[in-house]
Amino acid sequence: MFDNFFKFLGSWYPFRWFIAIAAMLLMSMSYADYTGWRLLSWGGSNGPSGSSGHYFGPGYHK
Amino acid sequence: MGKVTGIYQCPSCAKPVTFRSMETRIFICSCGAVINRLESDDLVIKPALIIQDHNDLLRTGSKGLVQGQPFEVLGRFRLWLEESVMNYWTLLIGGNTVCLLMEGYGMYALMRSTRTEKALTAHELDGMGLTQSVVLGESDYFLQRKDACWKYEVEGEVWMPECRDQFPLFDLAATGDKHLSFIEYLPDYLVAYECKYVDLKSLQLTGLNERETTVLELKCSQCMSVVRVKTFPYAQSCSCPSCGARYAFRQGGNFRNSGFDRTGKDKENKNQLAIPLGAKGVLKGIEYEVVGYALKEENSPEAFRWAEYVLYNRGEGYAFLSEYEGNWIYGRQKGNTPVLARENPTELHYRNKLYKVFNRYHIRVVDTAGEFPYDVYDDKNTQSAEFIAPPYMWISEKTRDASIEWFYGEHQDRDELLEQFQYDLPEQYGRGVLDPKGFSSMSASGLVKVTLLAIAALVAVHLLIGATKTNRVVLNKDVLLHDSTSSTTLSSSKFELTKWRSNLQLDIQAPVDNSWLDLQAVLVNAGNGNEYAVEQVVEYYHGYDDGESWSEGSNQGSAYLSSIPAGSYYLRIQASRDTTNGTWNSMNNFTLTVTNDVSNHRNLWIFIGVLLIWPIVQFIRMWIYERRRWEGSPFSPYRSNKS
Repeated sequence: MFDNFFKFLGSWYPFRWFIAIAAMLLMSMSYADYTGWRLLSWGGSNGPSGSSGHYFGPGYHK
Repeated sequence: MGKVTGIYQCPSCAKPVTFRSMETRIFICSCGAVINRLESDDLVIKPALIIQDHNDLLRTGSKGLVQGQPFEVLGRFRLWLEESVMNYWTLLIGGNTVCLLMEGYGMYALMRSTRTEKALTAHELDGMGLTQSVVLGESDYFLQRKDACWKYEVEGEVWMPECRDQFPLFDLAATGDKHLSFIEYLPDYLVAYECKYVDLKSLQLTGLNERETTVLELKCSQCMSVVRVKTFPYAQSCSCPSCGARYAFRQGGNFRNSGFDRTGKDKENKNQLAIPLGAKGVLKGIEYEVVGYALKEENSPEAFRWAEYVLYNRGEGYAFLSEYEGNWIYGRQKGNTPVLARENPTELHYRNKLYKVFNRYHIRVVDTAGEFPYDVYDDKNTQSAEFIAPPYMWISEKTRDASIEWFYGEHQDRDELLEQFQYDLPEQYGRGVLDPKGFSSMSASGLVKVTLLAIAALVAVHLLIGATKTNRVVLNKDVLLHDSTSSTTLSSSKFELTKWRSNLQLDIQAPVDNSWLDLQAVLVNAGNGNEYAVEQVVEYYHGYDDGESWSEGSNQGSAYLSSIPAGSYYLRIQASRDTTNGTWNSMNNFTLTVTNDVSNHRNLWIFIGVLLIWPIVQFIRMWIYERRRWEGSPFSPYRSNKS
C-alpha cells in the first residue's frame, strides 16, 4: 500500500515546481477575486483606443 | 518395490540408492555410476557425463520457495547448446511433485511439462521463422529460439526423460509473458514445458554453494600467455590479454584448451578500459565483477564506437555496461520480453509502455579483453535493434533466423557508477540515448494532464468566489445633457461599501452615433476624503468607405474601480460629449449604473495565461532536448523530410 502511495507521489515529482507555481497563482487569484482587485488596470482609467484610422474621439479636433 | 519405497540397488556397486521422487529417472551413485530408472522400474547404467565443475550458486541440496511452497534441489542436467550452456535443476516441491528450474545467465524459469492443444512436431517448429506464429490456446506463440544440444551432463537425482546424445530445442513466446519450451529428447518425442520466469530473490534460496570458483586457464597459442576464464562454461569466448588473440568455444574445439579455438586477432589491441578487469562494485544492489570489455563499432559509414563492459555475479549472471560519449547504460538479458509479430517494427509495446525504434545495425568488434557469455566475435550474423522509452530501452539481437535475444537497458548515472568504480571514467559530453531528461523526465501527456488540472482548479476557485459576490447596484441614474453644453457635472448621493475591500463596476450606456462621450468619475470617501478616479470613453462610429461599410466601437462601456476599502462614498461625475459633429444634439442623455462587488473574469484569464508559461517553456525545452537525443538516429521523429 505504501509502495503504491510513494509511487503515486513519485509520479508527481517532475511537476513539483509547476504545482508550487500553480498553488501560488491560485492563492493570488483567490485574493484578487475576493478583494475585487482587477489585475493590470493602472490608475483606474480606461482611455479611448487610438489604433484605428477611423478614430474621431477625444483629441480629434479640426 | 522401488516405486513405493524409492530404495534400489545400484547395478554397478550393489549399494542401496534412494530416489526421492517417483518421477525422477536418473541418479548418480556414490560409486560414480549414472543410474537410469526405466519405465519398467528396472535400473540400468546410462552412459551419460557427470558434471565435474561446481562453480554455480545453486547446488544439490539447496532449498527455497516457489509460489509459497518449499522446494529442495535434487540434481540437474546441463545442456551445452550452440552458443550457451543452460542448467535444468530438478526441484522437489512440497516433498512430492517435481519441476525444472531452468537457470543460466542470470535468468531463472520454472518449467512444468504440459500438453499443447495442437500436437506439434520438431519438424514443424524447425520450419518456423522468427516472426511466424502458431496458435496454441488463445495465444499466438512466436518462435524465439531454435537451438541444439550437442552435449548433456547430469548431477544428483534428475527429472529427465530418456534422450539421445544430441537433440533440438525450441522456445516460443506469446505476449503477456507466456513462454513454451519444447525439447525433442528422442525422435518424434517432443516434450512441451510451460515456463514462468522468476527473479532470483523471489526463490529465497538457502544452502547455496559458497565455495570459491575455479578458474579455467588457457594457453594462448600465439604468445603462450595464460588466459584466465573465470565464468566457464558460461563464458563462450575470450581474448588473450597480451597479444589480443581471440578464442571462441566450439563444439569439438581444441581439447588442449578446453574446447576454445583461436578465431583471429583484435583489429586494435589497445585495451583502453576505463574500468579494469577484476574491478568490483555494486550496481542495482548486485555485487558485480568486471570480467570482459569489448570496443564495438557500428557497421555503417558513421562507424560509431562504444565500449561494453561485461559484469558478472554468481547468482544474477551477466550484465552489461555500455559507454558512449560518457553516457552509460546498464543492461541485462531478460526472459520476459516483448514479442515481435513482424520484421523490423518501428515501435513496440511492452507492459503498457511504448518503445520507439532508435537504431538498427550490425556491429564489428574492434578490441576485446577478458571473457564473454556468447561468441562476441561472431558479429556478422547478428542484427541489433534498439527500442527506447528513456530512461529504458529494449535491445533485440537477432542471429541468423534462429534466435532473438532481448536485453533490457536503463540509464546508468555516471556519478553513481563513479561511487562504485573509482576510476578515471570518461567525461560526459554527448546526449545520452537514455538520459532521463527531455520527455522522459516528464511525459508530454503528464504535462498536459497536470496543466489541465491546474486550470480546472483556477476555474473552480474563481467560480466559487464569484458565487459569493453580492452584485449590489449602488447607483442607477439617467443623466441629461443640456443642448447648449458640451459637458455636465454632477454628484451622486452617498452609498455604503460594507465589505472589507471590494470593487465597483461603472456601466455607461449612451446613444452615441459617430460621436463620443467621455465620462470622468471620482469616487470620494466621505469619511477621509480619499479619491479614486476612473475615466471611460463611449464611442461609436460607422460609415461606408471604398465600397465597404464599417463600424467601430459601441454605445456602451464599462469601467472598474479596484479593491476599494469599506466606507461611505459618493461619486463626482463629469461627462463630456463630442461637439465637433453636426449630430451632437441628438446625444443628450446617458445612463450610468454602478454595481458593487462584482465578479471579474479578466483576472481568471490573466492567471491562466501566467500559469501556462511554465508548461509551454518546459515543453519547448524538452522538445529541443528530444530532438538532440534523436540526432544520431536514422529513425528520428524530429527529422524533416528535406534532411
